[in-house]
Amino acid sequence: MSNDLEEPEDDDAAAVSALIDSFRDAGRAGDLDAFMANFADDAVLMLSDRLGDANKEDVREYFSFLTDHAFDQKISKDEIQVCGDWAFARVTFDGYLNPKPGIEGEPSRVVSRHFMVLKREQDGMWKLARDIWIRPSE
Amino acid sequence: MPNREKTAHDEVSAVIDDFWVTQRAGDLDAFMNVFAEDALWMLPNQREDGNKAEAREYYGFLTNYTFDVQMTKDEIQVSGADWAFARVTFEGHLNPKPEVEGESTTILGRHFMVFKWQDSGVWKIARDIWIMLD
Repeated sequence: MSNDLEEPEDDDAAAVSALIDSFRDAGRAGDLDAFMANFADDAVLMLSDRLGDANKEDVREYFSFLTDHAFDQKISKDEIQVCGDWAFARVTFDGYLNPKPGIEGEPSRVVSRHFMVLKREQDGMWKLARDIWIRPSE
Repeated sequence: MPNREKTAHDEVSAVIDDFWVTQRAGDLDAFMNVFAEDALWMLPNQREDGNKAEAREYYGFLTNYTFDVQMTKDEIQVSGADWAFARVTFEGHLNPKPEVEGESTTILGRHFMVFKWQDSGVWKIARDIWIMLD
């Protein structure tokens, strides 16, 4: 799957696009620390397995499978909108979750469509502030 | 001079109220009117975006059912002059209208909505995604 968007319209859109890429790259590397570095410290996720919000600590626990698994996913940036210090993006991840070498297990098909909200931090860096996703059927 | 951000916050909150009031009433036309003409839905289980015509078809069950739900506005954020987003939790039942046979269904889920200020001078829902909780 290719990136559906044309070239980002401005520097902010490009920075948001780069942050989304870094999620993909950290997932491919199975690098949990790098993956979590993309989240704002006060990030809030709406996970489908719980009623309340998940904070960054909860999210790290949720994605702890990256210590022995890695994603092999392509991404499609369906939409990026920047509005001041906030931005939102709609992104589709499509691929597999594979056990790392030496770990027993089979690849799992993983497709998810995300609605991400990103916020510009005080240092000027964009971070993921909100995330919710659905898992479309094949 | 009114605080524009607070005014926008209250206006978006009112749109969320309309979203649920029209659902509770089972009024499909009024319900669809809270959405922008170019709104996009990320519908459960679907790979492609849904447009307004497809969403209307999806919500066609409102002609036979009404929602009896309580909702909580978990967060409303206004982003600049034209955009806002909200996170909403809903819990309740989907009930058949009196003339329709069927069972009441328990529902629990969460919406993420994006609102866009329209040229007509009102806020409308421009993007919607939700998850159902077990």
